[in-house]
Amino acid sequence: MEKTENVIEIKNLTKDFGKFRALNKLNLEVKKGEVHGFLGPNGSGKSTTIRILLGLLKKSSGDVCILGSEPWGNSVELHKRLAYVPGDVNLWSNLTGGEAIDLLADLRGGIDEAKRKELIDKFSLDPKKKFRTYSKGNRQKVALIAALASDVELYILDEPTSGLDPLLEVVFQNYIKELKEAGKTVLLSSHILAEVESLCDRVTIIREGSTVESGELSNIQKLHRTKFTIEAKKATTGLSKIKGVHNLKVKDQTTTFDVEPEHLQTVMNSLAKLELKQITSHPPQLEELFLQYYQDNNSKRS
Amino acid sequence: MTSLKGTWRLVRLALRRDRIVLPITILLLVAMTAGSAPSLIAAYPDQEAKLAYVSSSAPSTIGRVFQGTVSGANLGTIMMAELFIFTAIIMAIASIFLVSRHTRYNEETGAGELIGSGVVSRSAPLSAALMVAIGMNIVLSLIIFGALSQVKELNTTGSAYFALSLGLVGIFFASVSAITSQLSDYRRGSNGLAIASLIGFFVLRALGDSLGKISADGLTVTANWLTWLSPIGWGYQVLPYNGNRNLPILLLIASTVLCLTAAFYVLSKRDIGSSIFASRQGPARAKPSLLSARGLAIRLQSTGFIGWSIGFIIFGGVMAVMANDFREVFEGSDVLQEFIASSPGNNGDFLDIMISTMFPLIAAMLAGYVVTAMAKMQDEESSGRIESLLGTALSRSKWFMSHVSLTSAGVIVNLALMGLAGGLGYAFASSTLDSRFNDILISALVSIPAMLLFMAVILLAYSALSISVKAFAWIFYGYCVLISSFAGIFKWPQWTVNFSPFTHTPGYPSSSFDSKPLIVMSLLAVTLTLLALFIFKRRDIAVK
Ligand SMILES: Nc1ncnc2c1ncn2[C@@H]1O[C@H](COP(=O)(O)OP(=O)(O)OP(=O)(O)O)[C@@H](O)[C@H]1O
Ligand SMILES: [Mg+2]
Repeated sequence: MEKTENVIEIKNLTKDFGKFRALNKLNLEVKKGEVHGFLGPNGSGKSTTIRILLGLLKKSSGDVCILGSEPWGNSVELHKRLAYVPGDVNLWSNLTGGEAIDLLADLRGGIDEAKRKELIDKFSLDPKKKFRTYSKGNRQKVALIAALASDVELYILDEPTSGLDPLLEVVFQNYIKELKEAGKTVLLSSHILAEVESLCDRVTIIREGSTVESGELSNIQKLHRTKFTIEAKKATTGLSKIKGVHNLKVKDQTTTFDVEPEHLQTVMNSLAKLELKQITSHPPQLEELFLQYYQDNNSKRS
Repeated sequence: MTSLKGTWRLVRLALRRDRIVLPITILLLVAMTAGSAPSLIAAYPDQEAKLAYVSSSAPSTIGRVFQGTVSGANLGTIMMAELFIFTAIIMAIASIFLVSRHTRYNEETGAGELIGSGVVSRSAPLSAALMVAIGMNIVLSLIIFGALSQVKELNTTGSAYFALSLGLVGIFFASVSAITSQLSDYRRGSNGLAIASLIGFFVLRALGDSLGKISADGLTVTANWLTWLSPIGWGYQVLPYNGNRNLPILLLIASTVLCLTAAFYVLSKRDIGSSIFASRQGPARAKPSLLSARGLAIRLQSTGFIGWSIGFIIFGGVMAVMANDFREVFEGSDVLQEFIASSPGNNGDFLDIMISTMFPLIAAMLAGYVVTAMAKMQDEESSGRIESLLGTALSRSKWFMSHVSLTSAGVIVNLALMGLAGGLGYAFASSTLDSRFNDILISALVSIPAMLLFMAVILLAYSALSISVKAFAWIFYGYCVLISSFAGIFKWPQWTVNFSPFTHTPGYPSSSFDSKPLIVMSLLAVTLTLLALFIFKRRDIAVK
């Protein structure tokens, strides 16, 4: 088997917490040198997957391979080659931010002094404050700086920017782009779609512990409903009867609706008969795409 | 006047959160006071023995530092001398911790903000914490009074004053903690300030008492005015069983009201989460000594360790001074000599018997150190900090062993300190430095295997139960203290006694040195610790 290309390879991963199945045959592939977005609604299992990748949790079944080896039992060697920012950053209340950065980076195997200084500067962190006095965003900065100041192959970031302000979000994105240029691999779990859109080459979307979609962002978008806005001389209400048409809305002259990709041809044929005055179409916004998943998820839950 | 909206709900929340710590604190304190009455009766069976005790304690400077101004020769005044100051200090510490835990600590973790945004008034958290603390002291006083009123030899009014003044000292320090938790912006800082004031008041009283004047008959000591600057001094100067004075009680109540007013005033002036003394800044870089699992463990555990070390030193020193006083009494009392000679399995030396029975009991009480150290370790996991640590190249075994080895070293150092303090205390009190010094040191050190076994049991529970271990550890601790203090008196069945490691420590030096139980306990401790590590390496890390 050639494991060379994939830094992370998860197949049919299942994790049970007692009777509760948190992960159900989850698949995830992260290629070397890519920034991979890891998305899914709250409680879908992102953090659980990451903790299994780190050897903090033991899988129930399935195959997990990270940097060429199984994480459970090999974590010390593995962790020298990766850096991790947990979703909930909680550090020692009586250590300063600077001390925590030094400690974590040192335990990982060393710190790049110049990089440390630059990161503290760019993220404008006051390293002399006790951890307990930091705000949420500042706590996250401490963990981020400790991770980014280490020179490793793989960065695993679990919602690293949920507390950062927009200016620092830009700083963060620049650093991730820098990592990508340097050929590093990043697994980024995030709820911030703009961030995912601007950083990620590929994404994996999970729901209730299973993978529902995986691939290049542009390809995923192609797989989804195209949005149409038309003005026609004839009545457009009949369109709603055509298979593959959704969300039809008529307002004054304009009609809007979404079309599933496999029914595009039939819809186009019908449109031709309507004596169109105007037509525009565009691929789904990422936001809409996710709403589809998340809403499906909610309706299933209730 | 501040509104009390929401206070009652917060009181219930606090009681629920403390449902284990509170009963154990109460148990420990009742065991210390009421539980020791029978042994005092046995030690001072007649008036002759009591007179001997007082006439030797009253003039002694060391005696006055730890036992206060002994005045009057009856069982009650001897109990005052032996127990009052200690019990008052422990009640003060318990009250201080309780108030800061339910006020400043909540703000520190952010829970305070959540509570503050609910339908509760601004002063509700502080009022609730104080109500729980005052309630704890009242319950304690009532139980102590109830137990002591069963002892025929003790005057009932005296017992009421004894219990009341203990409770009032506890409540006074709860109100001190109410102030310090407004001043400092985190729990440890707040506790530190309050404990510093406790130490300050202890020193004032110790000075005042040592400078006191002794009456012509040598049975009454009048404290110097310095004692009257200290609430612990007031508590003592109530002089239960020998005067039952009301003035110090009024002073205690007035000063408590003053502190409470100050605390609520500061509270009304500050923002939630903020404080009067802003946090000091710290170093921007870590010292090389911090940069390892052990370095971090030392940093996390050192404050707790120092606190407990002071406890070990004071207990060891006081025990030895007390034992020496007992001995002087014993030598002047025929009845006692007969009593000792007739009790089985001992070498007939009163001092030896005292030390070999008291040190294992004190060791059991001070095992609280192990419980708090293990709780710190578990906190690392339940707070999620362990995720950041084990996410680096730090192995699980290294992390686990960093805490285990540090706590083991802490156990050995603390018991050695207790032994040294005991040996020195005895040498000072008796003005002789002889082989007793070694005996006392060894009688403290023989508790090492029991302590390590105690720790190993908690570790095993920690690995197997992960999150719920704190409750287990405190209950196990309470059980061991209970067995050590009462099983002998009430003749409980042997199997209940056997579950506590501390009952297997051989009574050195009264019986000859028996290494077998020590070896067995050590081996068991090592085995259980390794088993705990084995399990810990193979289980899920408990993350939120
Ligand atoms: N230790 C545990 N015991 C029991 N259930 C757990 C445990 N850890 C996680 N879960 C459950 O597993 C599911 C997945 O949780 P996980 O934290 O992986 O979600 P997530 O995708 O990271 O969510 P979020 O976006 O909110 O961070 C949740 O339903 C959670 O309640
Ligand atoms: Mg998560």
